[in-house]
Amino acid sequence: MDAVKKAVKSSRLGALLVLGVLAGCEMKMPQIPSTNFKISIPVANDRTTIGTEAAERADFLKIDDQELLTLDFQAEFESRASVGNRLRVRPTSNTFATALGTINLPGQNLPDIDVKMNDIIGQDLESGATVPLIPASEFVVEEELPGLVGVRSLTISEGEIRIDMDNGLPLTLTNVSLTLKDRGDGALDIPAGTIDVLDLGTIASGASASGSFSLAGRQISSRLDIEVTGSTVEGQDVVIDADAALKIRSSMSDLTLEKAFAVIPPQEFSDSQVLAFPDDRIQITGANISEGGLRFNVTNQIEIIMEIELRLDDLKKPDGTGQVFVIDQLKPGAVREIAFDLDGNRFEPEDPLELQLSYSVRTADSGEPVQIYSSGEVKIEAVTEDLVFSRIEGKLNRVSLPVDPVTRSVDFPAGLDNVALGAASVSVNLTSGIGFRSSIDLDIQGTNSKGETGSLLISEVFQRGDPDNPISLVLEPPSDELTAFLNLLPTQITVTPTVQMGDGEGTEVIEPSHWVQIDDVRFVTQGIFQLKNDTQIEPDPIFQSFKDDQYRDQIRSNLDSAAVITMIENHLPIGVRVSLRIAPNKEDVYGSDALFSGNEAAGYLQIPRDGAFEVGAGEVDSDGRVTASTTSHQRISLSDDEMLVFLREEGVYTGVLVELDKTPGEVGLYGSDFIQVVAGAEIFLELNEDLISKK
Amino acid sequence: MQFKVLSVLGVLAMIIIGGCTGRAFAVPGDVNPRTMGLGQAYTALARGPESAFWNPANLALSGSSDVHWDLFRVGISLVAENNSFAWTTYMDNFTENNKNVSPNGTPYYISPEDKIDLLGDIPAEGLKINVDIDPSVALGIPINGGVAFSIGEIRSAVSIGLNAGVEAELSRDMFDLFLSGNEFDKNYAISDWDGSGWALGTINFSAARAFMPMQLKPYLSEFTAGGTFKISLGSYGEVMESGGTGLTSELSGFALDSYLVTRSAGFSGSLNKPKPGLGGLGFGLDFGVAAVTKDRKATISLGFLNLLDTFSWSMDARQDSLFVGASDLRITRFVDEEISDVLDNEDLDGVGETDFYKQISDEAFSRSLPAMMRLGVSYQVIPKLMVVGNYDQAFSSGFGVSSSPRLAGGVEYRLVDWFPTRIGLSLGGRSNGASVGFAFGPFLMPSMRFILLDFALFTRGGFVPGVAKGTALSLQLVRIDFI
Repeated sequence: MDAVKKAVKSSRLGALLVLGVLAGCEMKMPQIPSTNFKISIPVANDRTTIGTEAAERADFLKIDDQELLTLDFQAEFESRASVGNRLRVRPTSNTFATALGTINLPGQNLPDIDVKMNDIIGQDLESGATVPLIPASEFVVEEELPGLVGVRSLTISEGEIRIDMDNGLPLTLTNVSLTLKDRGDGALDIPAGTIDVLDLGTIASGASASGSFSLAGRQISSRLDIEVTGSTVEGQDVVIDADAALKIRSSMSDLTLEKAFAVIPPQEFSDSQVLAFPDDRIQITGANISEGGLRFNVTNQIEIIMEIELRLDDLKKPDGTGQVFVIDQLKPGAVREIAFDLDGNRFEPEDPLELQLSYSVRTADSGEPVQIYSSGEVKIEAVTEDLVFSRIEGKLNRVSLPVDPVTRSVDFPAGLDNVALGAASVSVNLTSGIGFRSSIDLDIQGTNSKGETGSLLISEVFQRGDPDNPISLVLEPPSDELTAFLNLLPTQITVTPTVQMGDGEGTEVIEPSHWVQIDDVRFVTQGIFQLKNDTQIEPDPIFQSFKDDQYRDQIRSNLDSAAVITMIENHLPIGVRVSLRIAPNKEDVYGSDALFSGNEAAGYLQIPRDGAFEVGAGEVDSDGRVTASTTSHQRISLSDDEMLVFLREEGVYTGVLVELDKTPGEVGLYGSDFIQVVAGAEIFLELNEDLISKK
Repeated sequence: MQFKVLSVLGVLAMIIIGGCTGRAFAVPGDVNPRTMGLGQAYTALARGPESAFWNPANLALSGSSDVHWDLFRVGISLVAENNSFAWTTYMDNFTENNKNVSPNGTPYYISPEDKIDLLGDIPAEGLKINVDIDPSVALGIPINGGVAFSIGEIRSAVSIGLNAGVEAELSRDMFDLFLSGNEFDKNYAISDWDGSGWALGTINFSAARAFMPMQLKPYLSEFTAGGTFKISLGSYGEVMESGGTGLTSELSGFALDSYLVTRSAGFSGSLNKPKPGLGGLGFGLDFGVAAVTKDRKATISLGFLNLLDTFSWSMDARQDSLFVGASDLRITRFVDEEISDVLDNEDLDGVGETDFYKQISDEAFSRSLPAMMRLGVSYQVIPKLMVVGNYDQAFSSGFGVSSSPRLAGGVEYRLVDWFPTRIGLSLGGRSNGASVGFAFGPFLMPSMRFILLDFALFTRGGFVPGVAKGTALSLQLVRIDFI
């Protein structure tokens, strides 16, 4: 127990001893110290090579085979335009009239006329008696011709009445003359009169003479007379024959009439016409019609029922037979519509630009006298519609095949107004499955970021393709205006291509399934350009704000100073100046220099304060290629007032102003050219409890 | 919040840089207030069950009761030290003792010159810190204690040792960055890391026997020899290799390159969420001899610990590579990009996240406790005064043990029997150190012995607490032994 008591007593002493030992260590709570602290922050290390930039904007920048930067972009189409139903022609509608032309009336024999001797010498002589002397005398005899069968009047173009006279008299006749007379027809207003006179001269006894009365140009009625005049020579010991007579035989030849009032036998006439194509874009040697037809309105303008056979001579039905349509019993004044369905027809015109039609007309026998004219017509009105072809052999002459337009955006950086691009070219990659030498029209419209517009129309011919083995072609149409157009720096370009099929010369074959594909239209400038004036590139300002008020105050109260360190290496053939602009509003970021002069309190700051980080162009060789870089090192100290611009409560807008010197002439940018900007900041702070502790 | 964190860090700094030690612990269980108070010059003084932790031959020396049972105790030993900063450094710069004022009028100012001095305190190899914890508890079953008993002429003991610790090494440039910030065109070697951590337990079966060789009989009154068979188990992790170019601060951008190769056992789960468990099992043998001089004033003890030690770490064993890399680091990249994009680290396992480590092996490995020779001498100058000395030589390093030879000496003076006071000094080993200690006890009762308070403080790097760079504190609140 003593030990226990000792232990309890000694516990107090022990505690004192432990405290004493620990007190010797003089323990105190830690305090947050203050000290100067430097933060060196790499801000940027941007090595911008032309090649990299081109790769990042590969949609419109490329490095060419000579390593030069080129503006190279293309409007992608990859759309195939098929010929489809563009193989169509609508022949020009037309109306044709074919006149009867001539009226043919067949010839007919007229009854013979005998003039007895007694009628000639004017005395009755006994038959069988011999008269010693018959003195010479004149005679006139008029005989009535029988009426013409079925005729009431004729207006004759061509025709005659043939007269054969046999002198059966024992006397010679001299000065024999025959006169054909029309006795006229008052009902038809045909006057009486002489139609023609026939002089037969001397006709010896037992001899014959002949001649013809011309009816051409005459209008005659059916009542005709023949008057015979002449003289007899003196006769001695003339034996009188009771049957002796002067015999007149007559016949009327086939008549060609201008007008007739008669019984008209069947008349026939025919005609052929063409329906012309409206233009020469499709010139057909042979074609298959997939769709289409023709309609005809046929009118009979002749006073006789007729039958018409209408033929489309260039067309054959699918079964190989011709296209023929017969109209019968077409009454005078009637109109008949007929339609030809040409689907599946084969078309092989004589003339590549025409469709031929022909027709034959046959009138019925009139049966009774009718009054007709040779000018009476058959009228045919052709009403056309599109003929769609499933195959054409022939020539095409700029048959349009439109391709949907493509609009291409080009993201040109802002601020390149003064860039003058070198010569530009455009190329078209297409694949042709059209077997015609054709051409392509490019309607190019462009609008730049300022809203300015430009347009360009470029055409180029390309060789025939092969429908069975389509041919890829690259067209490079020349254009004097293209460079000027691209110098507009259009940010939006719309290309509307139209393929014009055929050149009007070569004869080929085309079908609806044939096609042409526009793969792309590519615009390329040479890798050479000129900066016409000093150029500013003003990227969009970026808004920055420091939202934590507490930290803003902490940094503000602990910030000592700062510095900006830059190293710029320029391996471009262009001098560059770079400055950082900070402003309280977006509009002022690239405002006048005066705004940024000692105006930190208002939130304006330019780094460096005066001018810019300036780096001259790199050294170039005779080819304009940079051989050595130009480098600039700078360290810009910033006061705390200047640094506090970044910490403005309202936030600030920052922008990097890049200024490019104008070039004395054209320069080329190579893929290996670059500009490297290395920048860092040194921030000097005081670390203390105020900065570290969150209140 | 930051202030609380800083306060905690400050207290931790106080502990780490506060004072002392120079650890030469070879096995779990060899730390208690008495050993620490004597500067770890304890090989010749160990008796009873604790002999297993120093020299098993001591079991058979006289002065031990036939039976010794560490029945009840509550205590702990804590070691925290560094190789760079002294207590005064902390006090002069990071407490209100710092009277300097910045140009802006802020107190506790650390000037550029002060920073140079602070960095100058850190050796070129970097800042090393280590923390060790040795609990000393018993409630029937003792931790870091045991039971000793006799079987015939054989003196035996069964004891349990337990120790956990961490040691780490950080580069000086890292502190340069923390103190001054960074400069352009400078490389900061922050990739040199080293360290290890462990939790070890041992079950020791010891036996010793006294005998006297004829040749020594004229000089010695006692001569003993003994050995310990120990079963070791625990968990372990260490940095095997580190490297990389560190942080390169250039105007064009930062570059970061750092890697570690680690191995561990006893941690299941992923590397960033480890679940501690049993990682290894080992066996070892200790041997020793001890002698008492003819006049019985001096004791000489020579022990070889962990001499035939083998330790296989096979449970949840893994080897990992940890790495971080980045190039062209700029402020704009941090603003514009995700951190996973900023770093060069890749998604190695393909699960969509940036990986910072990769398991490169799951094979077992061997890592033995360092073998050590301990030679101790004690001399009873007068009945109240004991002088001790020790020579420690470890044959390898690790687990907090340095292979540098270490000399230690101490004095224990008992003004009265129940109030011993101790001082100790050590040279070599991890560093020089000094210690003080005292106790209230033992108070003897029949078959029982009490110690109410036993305390020791060890300082590292200097004998004066203010300039020391580490401290070890051992406190035993109460101890009851059955004897």
